[in-house]
Amino acid sequence: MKKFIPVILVLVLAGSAHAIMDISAGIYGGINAPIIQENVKTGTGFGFKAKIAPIPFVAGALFYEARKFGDPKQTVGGITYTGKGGTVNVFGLEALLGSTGGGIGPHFYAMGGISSFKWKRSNQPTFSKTGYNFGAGLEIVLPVGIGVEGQAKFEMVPNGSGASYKSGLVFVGLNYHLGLGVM
Amino acid sequence: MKRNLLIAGALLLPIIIAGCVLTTGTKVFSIELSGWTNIPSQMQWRYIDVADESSDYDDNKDKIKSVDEVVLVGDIINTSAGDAHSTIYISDNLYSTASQVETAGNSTVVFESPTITAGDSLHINWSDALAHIQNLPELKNQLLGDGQFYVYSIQSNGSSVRYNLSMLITITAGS
Repeated sequence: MKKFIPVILVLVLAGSAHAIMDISAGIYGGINAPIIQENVKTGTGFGFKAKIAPIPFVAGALFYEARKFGDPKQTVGGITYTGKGGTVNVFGLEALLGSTGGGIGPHFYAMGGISSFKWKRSNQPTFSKTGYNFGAGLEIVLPVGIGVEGQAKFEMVPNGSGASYKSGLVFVGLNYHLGLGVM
Repeated sequence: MKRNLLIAGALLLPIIIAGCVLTTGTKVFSIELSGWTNIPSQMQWRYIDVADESSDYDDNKDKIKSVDEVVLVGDIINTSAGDAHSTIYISDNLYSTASQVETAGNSTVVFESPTITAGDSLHINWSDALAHIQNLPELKNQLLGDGQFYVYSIQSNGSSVRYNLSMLITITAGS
C-alpha cells in the first residue's frame, strides 16, 4: 500500500492548485496477451475505472480489472496435455499525462501505473504481487459526454526471484464524462 | 521536448524502481519417463539427468530464476488382478529395495496416486496434475540444483502397474 502513496500525493497536490477539469467513469474490455510466458496463453479481460483530471494534461485513474489467461497446451510423446491459465484480478492506480482534460474531440495520452496483481490457478497458492504498467491511449469524446477509448499497455509483475511475468494488454471501452473541460 | 522527457522518465520510474529485469521468460519443457528398471517386490526406478534429457533445460540451467511448477502427467495402468496404489519418490542415492527407499530420510515422496481398480488406469492431465504432487519444494530444489536424481515408484503389495508418465517443468529464466 505504501507504494501507492506517491501517486496519491501527486494527484492530491495537483488538484489543490487548480479546479477539477473533468471526471469520468468507464468500462472496457479486451485482450490479455502473455509475453514470453509459455505456461499460459492469450486470454480476455474487462475492467472498470474512474478518472479525475485536475488540470488539462494530468489525470489519475483508479481501476479494477478481471482477466483470465488462456489454457496452455504441451505435447509430449504425441499426447497433448492441457493446463489451466487461471484468473487475474488487478486493482490499481494510473497517472495519465498528455491530453487528459476531457473536452470534446480526440485525446492522446501516455500513462503509467501501479497495481495489486492477484493470479489464481487451481491447486496453486494465489500469486499476489505488485504490478507495474505503462502505455498509451486515445479517447475520442463525443458532444454527448461519452468517450470512446482505446488503450495499449505493457504490464510487468516481478515474481520475487529476480524475474517477472509480462503481458501486453489492449482494451477498448466507453467512458461517461461528468464534466467537460477544455481540450 | 524537456516536458516530454520528464513524462517518459516518470512513466519508466516504477519499472526502474522494481529492479526487475525485462529479459526473463517462462518456459515449459518435458521429460518422458520411459525406460524404468524393474526390481522384484513392487519397485521400479529410473535415473534422471535433466540436462541430458532436455536441451531447453540445458540451455537455461545457468539462468534459472525460479522453478515455477513441476508435475507428472500421463497414465498409470493397473495391470494386476487387484486394486493398485502407486507412490513415487525422488532421491540423490541409488537403492535396491523398496524398504531402503521408504526409510525416512533416504528419499522424498513426490507423487501419490489414488487407488486404481483392477485393469483400470489413472489419466493425469496437466490441469489436475498438481493435486497429486507432494513435497513440491524438494522437487523444485532438485531442478535448481544439479538436476540429477533417482526416481522410484513403489506399488502396493501384490499389484503391478505400468507407467506412461512425463514430467512437465515450468521455469522462469533470463539474464
